[in-house]
Amino acid sequence: MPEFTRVASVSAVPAGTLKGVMAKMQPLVLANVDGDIYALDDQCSHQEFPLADGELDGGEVVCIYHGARFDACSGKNKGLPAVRPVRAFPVQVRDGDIYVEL
Amino acid sequence: MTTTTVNEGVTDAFNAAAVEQVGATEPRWLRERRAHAWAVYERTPMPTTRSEEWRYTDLRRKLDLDALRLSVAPAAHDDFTSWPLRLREAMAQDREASGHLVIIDGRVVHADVAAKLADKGVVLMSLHEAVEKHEELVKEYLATQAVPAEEGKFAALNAALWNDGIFLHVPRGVHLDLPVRVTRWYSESGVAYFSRTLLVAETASQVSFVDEVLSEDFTAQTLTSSAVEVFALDGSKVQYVAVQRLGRGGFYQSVQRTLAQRDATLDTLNVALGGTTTRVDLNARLLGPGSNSDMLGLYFGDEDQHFDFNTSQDHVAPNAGSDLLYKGALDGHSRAAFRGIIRVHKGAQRTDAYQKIRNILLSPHARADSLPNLEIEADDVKCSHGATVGELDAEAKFYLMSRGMNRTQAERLVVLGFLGEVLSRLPLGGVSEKVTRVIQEKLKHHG
Repeated sequence: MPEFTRVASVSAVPAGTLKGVMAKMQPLVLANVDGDIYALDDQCSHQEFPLADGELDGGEVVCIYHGARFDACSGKNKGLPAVRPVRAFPVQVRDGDIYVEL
Repeated sequence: MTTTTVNEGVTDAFNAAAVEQVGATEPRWLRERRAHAWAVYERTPMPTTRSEEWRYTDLRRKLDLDALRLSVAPAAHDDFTSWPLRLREAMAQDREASGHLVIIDGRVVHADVAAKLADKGVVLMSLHEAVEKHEELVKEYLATQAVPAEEGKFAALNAALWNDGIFLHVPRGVHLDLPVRVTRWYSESGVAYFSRTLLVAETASQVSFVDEVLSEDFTAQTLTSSAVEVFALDGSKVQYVAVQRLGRGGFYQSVQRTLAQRDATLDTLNVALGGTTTRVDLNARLLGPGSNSDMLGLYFGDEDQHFDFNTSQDHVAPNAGSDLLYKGALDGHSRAAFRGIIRVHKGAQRTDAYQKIRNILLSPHARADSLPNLEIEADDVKCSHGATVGELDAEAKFYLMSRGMNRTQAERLVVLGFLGEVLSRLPLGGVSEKVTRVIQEKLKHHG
C-alpha cells in the first residue's frame, strides 16, 4: 500500500532549487517552485540521467545533460529531446518536513 | 596526493570488521590483499547512471545494499542425496564430465576430477583449499592481473569479502576432452554471496568449463557476486561458459576477465535466463600474437527482468582476433542494455575484431539499448560493429503459419531459431539442450 514517507526537511530545498533524495529504492527529485514542493522520478525520460543534476527554470525542471524540460508539478514533458513525461508523486508538507507518497 | 574517502556502500554487513572476519584464518598476504581491496572499495564511489558504463542500470532502484547481510548458513554436506532436488536434476541433465564442483550457499561442498586427469596434475578444488595446497599459484593469479580490486566498485567488494570460490589448474599439454561442470545453488534470501573463479590453463592445454547458477525465487533481494579470472597461456584452448538460472529476486553480478596469450584460443558464452537483475562486465584481453576470443551471449527476458552487459575486447598484441555475438529476446516488460567496445591498442596490427548485437522484442513494453563502440590506435586492422533491435521475423512466422502452426507456436519456433545461432557456435555437451529447454519453458508464457 502506498503511504506518505518522509524524504527531507523543507529547509533542505530552498525556493528555486532541486534536490535528489532516496526513499524505498525510489530516487526522487524534489523541486521548490516559489514555496510549493513537488516530487518527480529522478530520471530523465530521454536518456535516463538524474534530473537532480539539472536546474529549475520557473516551474520547469531542466535536464542538464540534453536540455529536456518537464513540468515540475505534473511531470509532463515540456521540451525536447524528451517525448515522454516523468512520473510525478503526491507530496505533503507537515511540520517543516516533506512527505512523498510511495 | 590526497585520498578521498567516499564510504558509499559501507553497511552493517559490509565493513572492515567483516573483511577481517572472513579472512581471519588466512595467510597474511591474503589478508593484506583483502584489506587493500576494502580500502579501494571505500574510496570508490558507487556507480551511477551519470557514467556511460552504468547508464541503463540505476543501482539506486536495483540494489539495496543496506538490506543485505552475509550468509551464515552452515556448510552443506558432501552428500548428493541431501542436496536440493533442482540442483540434483540440473546435475543429472549434464552429460559426462572431466570433473564436478558443487557450491551450496556460497561454499564448495564437493569437488571431483577424473582419476587419470588428477594423475596428470589437473587440480579442481575450492579456492580456500587451493590457498593451502597451491599457495604460490593462487598468490600469483588471484585478484592481481585479471580482476584486481581497482577494476571497480564491485570488483573491490568481491576481492575484500569473497567467501569461497573455484580453483582449476590444467598443467602444460594436458587436454580435458569433457567439460568441467560447476553447479551452484543459492537458498538464502536477503543475502550477499561473494565468490571467485580462478582458471589457469597452462601452455598447450585444453579445457572447457561450464558454471551453472541456480536458485528458487527469493523472498527478498539476494546478490550473487562473482569475479572470474581466466588465464589461457601460450597455445592453450579454453572455453568458459556461465549459465545464470537464478529465481526472481536475484541480482546476478559478474566481473569476468579473460587473458589470452600467444596463439591461445579463449572463448566465452554467457547465458542469462533468470534473476531479476543481471549485470555482467566481461573484458577479453588478447595479449599474445595469434590469440583469438569468440565471445557469445544469449539472454531471454520476461516480466520485469533487467539485463546489462558491458563488454570490452582489448587487442594488445598483433595478429589476434575476437568475434562477439550477443543475442537476446525480450518479452513482457523486460529490458536489456548492451555496451561493448573494441579497443585496438598501438602496435596491435592486423587485428580482426567484430561485434554484433541482435535483439528481438516480443512485447511492446520490452526494451533494448545497444551501444557498440570502436577505439582504434593501429592502422592495419579489420574491425566492425553493429547492433539491431527488431520484432520477430514476419516472413518466417508467416511461412510456419502457412504450414499449419498457430501464431504462438510459430513465434516460439522463430525465437528458438533466432537464439539457437549462439548455442550452435559453441557446441558443448548438454549445454545447448539444457538452455533450449529453459527457453522453451519461458516461451510457454509468451503469447
